[in-house]
Amino acid sequence: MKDESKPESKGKPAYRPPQVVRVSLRPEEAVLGHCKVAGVTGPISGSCRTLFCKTFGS
Amino acid sequence: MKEQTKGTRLAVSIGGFSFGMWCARDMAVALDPEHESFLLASANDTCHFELDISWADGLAVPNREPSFSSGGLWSAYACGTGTKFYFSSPAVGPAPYKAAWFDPSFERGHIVLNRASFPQESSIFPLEYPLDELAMMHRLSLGQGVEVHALGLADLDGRGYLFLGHSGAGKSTTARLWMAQPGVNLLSDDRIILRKHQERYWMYGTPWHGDAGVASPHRAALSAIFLLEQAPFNETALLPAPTGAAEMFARAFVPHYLEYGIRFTLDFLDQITRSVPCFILRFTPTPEAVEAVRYAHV
Repeated sequence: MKDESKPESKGKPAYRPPQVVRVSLRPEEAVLGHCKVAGVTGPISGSCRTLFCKTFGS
Repeated sequence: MKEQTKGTRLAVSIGGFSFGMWCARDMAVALDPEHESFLLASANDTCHFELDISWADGLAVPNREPSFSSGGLWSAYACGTGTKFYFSSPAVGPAPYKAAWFDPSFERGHIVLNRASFPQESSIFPLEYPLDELAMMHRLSLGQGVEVHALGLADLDGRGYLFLGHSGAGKSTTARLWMAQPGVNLLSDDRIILRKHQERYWMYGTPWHGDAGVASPHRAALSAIFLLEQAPFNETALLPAPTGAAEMFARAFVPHYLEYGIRFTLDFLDQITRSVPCFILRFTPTPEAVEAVRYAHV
């Protein structure tokens, strides 16, 4: 197991300036806006409603 | 199998919250199969969410800019007396097929269904996606916890592992690897609710499952967090707590238009990652990936 939370050197850790870390956000998933099967969500039919529940966000 | 009832009370419990629904007498309601194991036996008790469900002969969105538009199914209109959500889909025309009002504490709500949008012969689950998750997301953001895009499970020894990932990261694949292990209890392969009780963090299963179909109403104490990353080998690497919190936030369901929701969620995730180790799990879908997780958390 690696430890990426600590510097490699022994003894007093070297100063490391603060860093901006960019993380990957997927807005279309984060806002619960869409079904993964485009255009088939909502009260269209019983089978369709079942379908979107099983396919969104997996 | 769906149980069809009329003019009845439905109640389910998800993430430690109970949802009680009083439905109009002429409304045929049914639980989605995924929600059946979340059904509350004592349906008439007062619930954390109390919701009235009724019909409308027509619905129209307010003539003003929404507080937030998802760009898809729903838009939110917030004001001092609460929040109203409108749900529309091109598949059923321009008018909203559903609207839902909630008070500021998200304890009481009123759901109105557009009669013209629902086939008469069909039964309805009033909390149909995405309303169920929206209600949960907003209630959690009021200082109660956070829902994340993740697989959660309890290992044979009781240790609880959370595997975070966007769609396609391998949550359901990882779930199937653990299903093959004896004594492992899986909670959900797509959505986990995280809450704090008595100085411990808990993972709750949800009905909102992924391709592996895991949807359990149970919970497990959280022991370690893993960020899924597909690789040609198996390896774990401990992350700095702030990086772990940021990666969790990117996989959290948060009302992004509410400052207090963002603020609470960031603080909550900061607290979790300072008390629970957070790793990257670089994995290939073999049983050795399971052992890599167990070895990381010895």
